[in-house]
Amino acid sequence: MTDIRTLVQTVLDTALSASNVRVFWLQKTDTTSADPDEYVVYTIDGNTPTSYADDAELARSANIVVRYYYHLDLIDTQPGRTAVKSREQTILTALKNGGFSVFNGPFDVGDIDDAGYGTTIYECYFSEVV
Amino acid sequence: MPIKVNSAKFQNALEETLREYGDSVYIATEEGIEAAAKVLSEEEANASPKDSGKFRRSWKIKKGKGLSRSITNTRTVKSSKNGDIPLVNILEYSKIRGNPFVKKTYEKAIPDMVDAVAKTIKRRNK
Repeated sequence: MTDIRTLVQTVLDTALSASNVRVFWLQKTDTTSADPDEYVVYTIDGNTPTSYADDAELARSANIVVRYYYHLDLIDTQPGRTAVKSREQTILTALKNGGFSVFNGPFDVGDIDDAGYGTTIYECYFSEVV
Repeated sequence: MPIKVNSAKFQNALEETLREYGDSVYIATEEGIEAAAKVLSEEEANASPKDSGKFRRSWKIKKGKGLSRSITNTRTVKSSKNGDIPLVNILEYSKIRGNPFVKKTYEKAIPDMVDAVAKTIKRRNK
């Protein structure tokens, strides 16, 4: 069975580390350096069997929520808005290439933590035969 | 004595019958979807935080294209830095102030929604 957490971390690190966008599981943990303009936090919200036969599990599906945070100052300028949109696309492409389904695509939920960061959500699913 | 029809007449008659049958299936399905949307809307309201009651009363069903329906919560709150934010976004996705329930409620409601569709279609076809 795939280790979903490792897969998400690897897929996003590979896509974003060159741009110094850090990826965190559950919560942003680095409190020593200055807050970055962009970062990603993901959570695994479920990993449940979807198909059985003869009381044995045949397939399962994991539900992952990826949150891309960007400082709201970034979208005050046209280059900043373009950079944010480009990053959203990079994350989407990485997730899809990593085997995740993102049915609804990325969507804006606003400054949900009231911390001065806009947030883009990706509701992802990873299905596999076990 | 059976009625004799040529193939063109039969085709027209069959097409007409299928169209009527299709319309009736479509209408029944639409009513079923509407019933399922009401079930989900009620279950989301029941699962909502209960503080003032305003959030619970703000679940709305919107008719989309064809058979699609969307269920949204219209309650918003002021962000200190960036305008209004739908409260449901904060509850479902915030890492600091979140209390997710929408997706869980939807998944739990699926059997009741399917049941509502089936009952509506059966009642219509009696």
